[in-house]
Amino acid sequence: MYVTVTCLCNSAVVALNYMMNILVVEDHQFFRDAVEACVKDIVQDANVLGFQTLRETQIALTQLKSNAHVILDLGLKDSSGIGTVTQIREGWPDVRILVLSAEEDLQLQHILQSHGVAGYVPKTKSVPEVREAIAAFLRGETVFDPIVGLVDGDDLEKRLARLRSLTDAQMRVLRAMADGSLNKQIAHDLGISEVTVKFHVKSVLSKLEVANRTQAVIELNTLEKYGQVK
Amino acid sequence: MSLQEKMQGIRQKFCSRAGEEAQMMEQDWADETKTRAERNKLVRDRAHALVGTASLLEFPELAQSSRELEKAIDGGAEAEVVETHVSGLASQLRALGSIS
Repeated sequence: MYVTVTCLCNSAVVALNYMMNILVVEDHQFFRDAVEACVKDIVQDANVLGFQTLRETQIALTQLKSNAHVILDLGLKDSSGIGTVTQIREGWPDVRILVLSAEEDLQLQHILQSHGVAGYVPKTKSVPEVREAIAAFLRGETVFDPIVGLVDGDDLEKRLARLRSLTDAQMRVLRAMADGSLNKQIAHDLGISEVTVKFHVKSVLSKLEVANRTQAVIELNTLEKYGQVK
Repeated sequence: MSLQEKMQGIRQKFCSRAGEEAQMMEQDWADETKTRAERNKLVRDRAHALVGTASLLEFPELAQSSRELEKAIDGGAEAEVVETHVSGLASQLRALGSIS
């Protein structure tokens, strides 16, 4: 069934003749309610569907017979990070995706672009800014911060390679550090001596080219958003 | 109903549930049946969700406190530090709940 969708954008009224399904995928109720309110303010007659999980979204996309726009949070209960995008893109390559994320990270934006995402909006934007970004996305535009062109994608690859160069033992120590454990606790948990833990910590800092434990943990948590680490 | 009116309604609902959110966050952090890593993840997920919602609903101090808690956990902060952040954030949530 085709309906006329009236799109109120930049004070202009654009009549579009196609069935517009807009999926708002966000597991936090109030944020999802706010995004749905913005969408309905832009396109009054669209079919707006809210979902909390990737699984629900995949089922809906399978059932929908016409084109869909997906407004997507990367951090869902059953999926997180760039994998959330790739799982949709693999099954439904024609679906347009706008990512809303609490991560304010230009490198994340760079990665999302390379995965065919149509836009990325940090969740820290105001309601008018989010509304305008959604309106542009629904008009078929791409929504990215222009400064993204200044980001060096090679830097990310180098950092990922450094993290992947850690041995299994070094990675176990780094993950324990990420849990907030001190050397003594790490030694106990991993069944190794404290001296060995210190040796591993030193190697981790050296390989990751960071100055201290905090920077190493931040590097782990940051890079895990972008790809398979180990 | 205008978008502004809808947002106001969502803000009020958020405030009315803020005390409950504070309680759940404190319970997650205090749950001794879980490992430190599991508790970190539970609390971090709650803080992460709050960053976006609090920003969009125009509670900037709450968003900032949530971001700080998230960063503390991401930076491998010790339990005492995380606990301080959790307590502070819970207090802010309860304050919001009391004005709803």
